[in-house]
Amino acid sequence: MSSDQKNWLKKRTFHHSQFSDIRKLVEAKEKRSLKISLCFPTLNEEATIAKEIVLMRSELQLRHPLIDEIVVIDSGSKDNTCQVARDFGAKVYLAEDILPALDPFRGKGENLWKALYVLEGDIILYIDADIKNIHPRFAYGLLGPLLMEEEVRFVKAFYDRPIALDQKVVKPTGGGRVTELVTRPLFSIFYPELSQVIQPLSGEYAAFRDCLDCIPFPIGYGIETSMLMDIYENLGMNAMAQVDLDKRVHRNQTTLALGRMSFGIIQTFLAKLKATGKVDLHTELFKKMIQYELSEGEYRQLEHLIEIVERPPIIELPEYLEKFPQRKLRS
Amino acid sequence: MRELLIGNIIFLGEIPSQAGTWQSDEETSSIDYSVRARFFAERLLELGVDECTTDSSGNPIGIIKGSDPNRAPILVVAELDSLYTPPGDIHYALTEDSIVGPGLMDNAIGAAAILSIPDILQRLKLEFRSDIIIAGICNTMQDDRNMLLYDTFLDSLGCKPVASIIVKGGQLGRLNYFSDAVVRANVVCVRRDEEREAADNMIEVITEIVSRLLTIRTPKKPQTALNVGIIKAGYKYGDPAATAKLGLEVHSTDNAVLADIIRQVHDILDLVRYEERADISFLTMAEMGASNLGWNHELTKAAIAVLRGLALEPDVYPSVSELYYFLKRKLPAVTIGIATGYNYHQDDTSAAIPSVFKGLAQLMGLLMAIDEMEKQ
Repeated sequence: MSSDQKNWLKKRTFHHSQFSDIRKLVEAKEKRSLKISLCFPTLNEEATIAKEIVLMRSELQLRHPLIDEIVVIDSGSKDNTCQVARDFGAKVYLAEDILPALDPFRGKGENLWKALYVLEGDIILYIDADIKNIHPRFAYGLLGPLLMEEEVRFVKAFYDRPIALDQKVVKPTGGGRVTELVTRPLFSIFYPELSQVIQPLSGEYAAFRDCLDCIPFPIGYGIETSMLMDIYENLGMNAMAQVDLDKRVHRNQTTLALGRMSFGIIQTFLAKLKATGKVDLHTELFKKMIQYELSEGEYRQLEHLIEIVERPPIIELPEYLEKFPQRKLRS
Repeated sequence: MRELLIGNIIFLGEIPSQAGTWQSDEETSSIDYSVRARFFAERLLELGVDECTTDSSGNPIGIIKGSDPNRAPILVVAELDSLYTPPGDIHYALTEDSIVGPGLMDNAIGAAAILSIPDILQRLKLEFRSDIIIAGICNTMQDDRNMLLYDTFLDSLGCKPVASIIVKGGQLGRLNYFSDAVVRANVVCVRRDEEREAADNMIEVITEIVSRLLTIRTPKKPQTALNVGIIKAGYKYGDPAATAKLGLEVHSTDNAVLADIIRQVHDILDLVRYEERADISFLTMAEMGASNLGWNHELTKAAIAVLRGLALEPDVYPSVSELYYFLKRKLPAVTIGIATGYNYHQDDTSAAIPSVFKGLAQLMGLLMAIDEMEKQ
């Protein structure tokens, strides 16, 4: 990495408190005539979604008109997520109802991709719906660099991520195992500049629409990694920034679940490397993650089929261009 | 308004309320502010109240100017603290119809309700003839002598409100317009290490005191009660406790009966002090007298009418807390509750959201009724 490239961490790393003057952000937004959309991708999030919507609505819509719309894209929750979200004032869409002519897939990436079709904003803000300690800083922190720094087009969150072990105990730096054991080593080998992204897998990010609608979206685990790699290829590090949002309390996942997540990320990574010509693969890649668990004194093999399914850049969709004709001109 | 009110409740409940969690920018400041008080003051400023300040104890105060400068102000107060604060961060949960989290009823909802007043006035374009003073009272629950902070606050107020509303999280429908005579005290037992015949274990001494306190007869008329609410003693399983503390409360509708019970408590402590050869002290934490605004006072009548107007049955009982400090100064005051809640002082305290809006309507209705009172 050149010294310029190394400077990215210093130049493009912010703290949310730098953008806590929300009035300034609203002024910047209005001056540039921008619309901002907030999207929560959900699947069975009735325990947390209401609080997320209420705090964003009260602080960043009703008190300060920073966010123009709050939208929930749901993957088919079995609980009351959709009703609760509607009750508290969000627009709610079932992912399968968006662009119904396409074959439906289930996954966070699918929701994020389809959100680009229903959201109206010039800036798209994605926030996971399982955050217990939600606070407006999650939104204004991410929007700050986009509104205040001319060259920034994409902003990623990072945190001190405690894991809620139970209701009372919080373990302060237990998160990010997949990042440190899988993603960062891979970035260090193939994309050393991207290794400066402190939490490449964080589920909260914001970007200008034109940054997102021209990249493919894997529907599964690889969405965050893939998005970073594509934006880096298209716009370079200088268009990216990261923001420290302090603490994020979320659900813990089992090691087995993280293993499957890692598998999906590696799959996506390899496919991307192959597509960009960075590596040649002369072997078939198997699609089953094989794991073992000890049950009644015996090891039992578990197999999970994890396939890469990728949505194309949404700008290639005629329906999208019909809805956003100005994007056609630019593309 | 729903999102704004719920937002305020969550922010206030999740923000630490302990004194000293926020340092003042002023180098000369000697006040231990709390982050919650800071948030309360900043939000008052943001809401554009006409004046915003903190008093000498660090209590945030906002004033919404009325149209008639000759009228006395209306005072609305709420404790800013949480009586029950678990260790670690606090995260409230919100469902379709309830909010859940520690400190919710005592007193995040009460504080959020009064913080919502400027918003409501602005959004409904309501104007009052009297000034409305909104005050969050800090550190009322963090210290044994907490109630005295109300005394300090009222001393420094610098004006005489026409009426005061003390706002509590719960329960919706409560109405306190009279107070019991109350003494809250700590009894502290300390072992005399140098005395050979002295009692070794202060837990045994405090148990003896409790046994004897339970023999005190408390009359039903005038209604009187003695309650032992706190016992703290000892550090290790294997060591006799060197100190022990007991917290008790005596309250009565009659000042003389209360004084008699307290005299009996002192007699018991004297007896145990000599028999057990332990150092026993009686430390008064709060002392309030019986006082009464009166059923026929127009503020009481207005509060009753508002409750009935909302189809709520008034739940009338004596206050054993801050109301006394208002009434002893001849300041007309009542205590009301905002929400219907459950599991007070636990991790899963909850409140029904629909009740909160009714409670808020009650608060606004009472404010409007006071503003329309002719006698000022």
